[in-house]
Amino acid sequence: MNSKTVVAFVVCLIAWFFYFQALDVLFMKIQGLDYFAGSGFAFGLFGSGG
Amino acid sequence: MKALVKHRRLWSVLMLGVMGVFVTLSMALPLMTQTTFAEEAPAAEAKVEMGKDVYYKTEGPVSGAGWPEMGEKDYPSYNLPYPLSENRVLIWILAQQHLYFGSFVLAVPIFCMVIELVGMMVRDKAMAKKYDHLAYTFVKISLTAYSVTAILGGLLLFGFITFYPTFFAYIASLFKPVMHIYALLFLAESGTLYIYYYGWDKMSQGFLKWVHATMGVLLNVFGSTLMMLANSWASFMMSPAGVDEKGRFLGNMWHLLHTALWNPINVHRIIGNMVFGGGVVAAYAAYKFLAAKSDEDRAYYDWMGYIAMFLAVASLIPLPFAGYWLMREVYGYRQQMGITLMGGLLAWLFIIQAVLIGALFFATDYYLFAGMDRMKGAERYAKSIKYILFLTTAAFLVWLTPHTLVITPQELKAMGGQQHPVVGNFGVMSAKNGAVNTMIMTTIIAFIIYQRANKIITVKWATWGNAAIVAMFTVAMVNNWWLAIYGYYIPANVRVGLSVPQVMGTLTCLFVGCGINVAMMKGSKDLGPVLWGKISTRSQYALFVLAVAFTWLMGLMGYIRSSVRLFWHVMEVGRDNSPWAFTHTIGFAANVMTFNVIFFWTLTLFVFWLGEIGTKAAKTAHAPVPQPAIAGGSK
Repeated sequence: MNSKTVVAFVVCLIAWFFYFQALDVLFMKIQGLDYFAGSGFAFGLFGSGG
Repeated sequence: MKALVKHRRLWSVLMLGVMGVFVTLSMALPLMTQTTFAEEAPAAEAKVEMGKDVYYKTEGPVSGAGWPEMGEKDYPSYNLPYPLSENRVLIWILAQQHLYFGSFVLAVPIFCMVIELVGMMVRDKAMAKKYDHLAYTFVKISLTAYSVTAILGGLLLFGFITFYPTFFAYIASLFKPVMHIYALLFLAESGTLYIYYYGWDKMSQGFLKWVHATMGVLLNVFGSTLMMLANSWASFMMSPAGVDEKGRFLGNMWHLLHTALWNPINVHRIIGNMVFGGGVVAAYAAYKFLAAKSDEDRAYYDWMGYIAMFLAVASLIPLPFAGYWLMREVYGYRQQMGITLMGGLLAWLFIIQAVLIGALFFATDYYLFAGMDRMKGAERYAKSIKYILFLTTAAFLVWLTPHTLVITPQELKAMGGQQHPVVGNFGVMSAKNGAVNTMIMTTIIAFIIYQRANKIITVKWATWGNAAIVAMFTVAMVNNWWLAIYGYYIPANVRVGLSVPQVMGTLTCLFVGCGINVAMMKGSKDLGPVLWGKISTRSQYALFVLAVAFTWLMGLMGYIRSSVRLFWHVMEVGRDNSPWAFTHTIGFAANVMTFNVIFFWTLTLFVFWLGEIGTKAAKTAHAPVPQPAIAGGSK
């Protein structure tokens, strides 16, 4: 695997990460639901969130 | 006759006009009926009793008799040995057989229409002819099945009239106009089908070919409308609307049709029919492949099997989403129904469903990988198969893990409860959603690999294209698992919503992944032609597995959908007072389903055999075309 492939893969990985995160938040919002309802768990590992 | 031939363009247009009138009528009649009731209502307002719709909660004039309280005399039965002494078992078998054949004859014209249109769009004349011939073969198979469907429909109707006379009289009193339209549409569909089939050669060129293709579209409009009308009877029984709590019609035909579950059932059935129809045609092609005497025939039927399988699997991918929508609507309509289905009495049937769905994905992946034997260069991708198989197997194991187990008291004590401390976590919907999306994504990866198996990609942006595809599947897969895990830590109402972004992620992989892949194959170099017919015999059995698993699944899910009403004929409106108003054991239900599957395939073999006789007679007109090219994006 050459460096060009690695760079392309990493760039795409980051781009897709943001795409899928945006997709998650957007489609929860469309349903009137809060994606971050479990953020206690998601971002701080404080507990069960909900 | 000469004049008919001379003016066949005019006649074709006239015929289309007549069909168009039928379509317009079918759409307009329900509305006209509704208007009639609406106009009658104000005049008689003073005398007419008003009722409240059980679903829409709107007021309406009572326009019919209520639900008839039924006793034993309302279920006249033959004194047959058990289980045939139960009228419902006889109706079950008749309805299931009618539905199997009905699904098949509704789905095949959809494929014919698509393949015929593809043939018309393709610029390569030889390829166009091959597609056209394939579409013709498809419709030929369905023709005999069409008669069998009608006969079974007649038997089912007689069954309802004789075994459930009071119930049927009530349903007929509500759906009278719908039933008349149904009959008219059936007539129109039959006429269109016969013109479509018998006019294939006469209408094969120029303008007439377009008229023929339009007939194909109309055929599907008639078929789908027919199916939706019949669905309204079943969905009314599950989630009644348009009547008051006594079951009296309130004058609004649209409410009667448009119940809470009508549209989800319509969508689920149309997609399900396509999966099933593709499966049956694939099995036909496999049967012909195995029986073929020449390489030419083997190549043709291998190609046909691939196309049918491709169409079936393309329809299979959105099917779980349609099923999920239906279940959400069931929960939305009556939460108790949803719990009975997925967490109560019928929950174990969903485990059987999970096993069958898993079998479908395994069979599909196996067939695709076996199909790579036809292509030089496919060995480059052989090492990836084991990873795909690992992911599919892991997802399958989560997918089929039950929430609770049937266990002895000792096992219960050892485990510390009904749920296993580790495996029990996989029994909930959050895990299942993650698992099924994983299985779908691995199947998409298998298809992408199949598409490029004999190609060398030459586009300049190949590195970026490959990186985009691999990164997309990696992130989509991780995101899918993340959402599945996240679902354990958030409130139930939010958790249910996570399924939507999961689905959207999978759909992104399907459309964007396949899209990039197809774009990358532009100008690619072939390592060799696709050697149609050079595939293992075992792969053809995978097609049989697909077809039989589809048949089983349909029987299973139909039973689940119907038996969720428990002791109601019409949910919470009309009670089932028959001596057999109880839910059968899972074992009994599974035996009847299996009997239905065997009976259907016996009848189908008979239909295939009849088709064979027809083929011999018409061989001169439509000789098999050798060495067809690959479908699905590559040549």
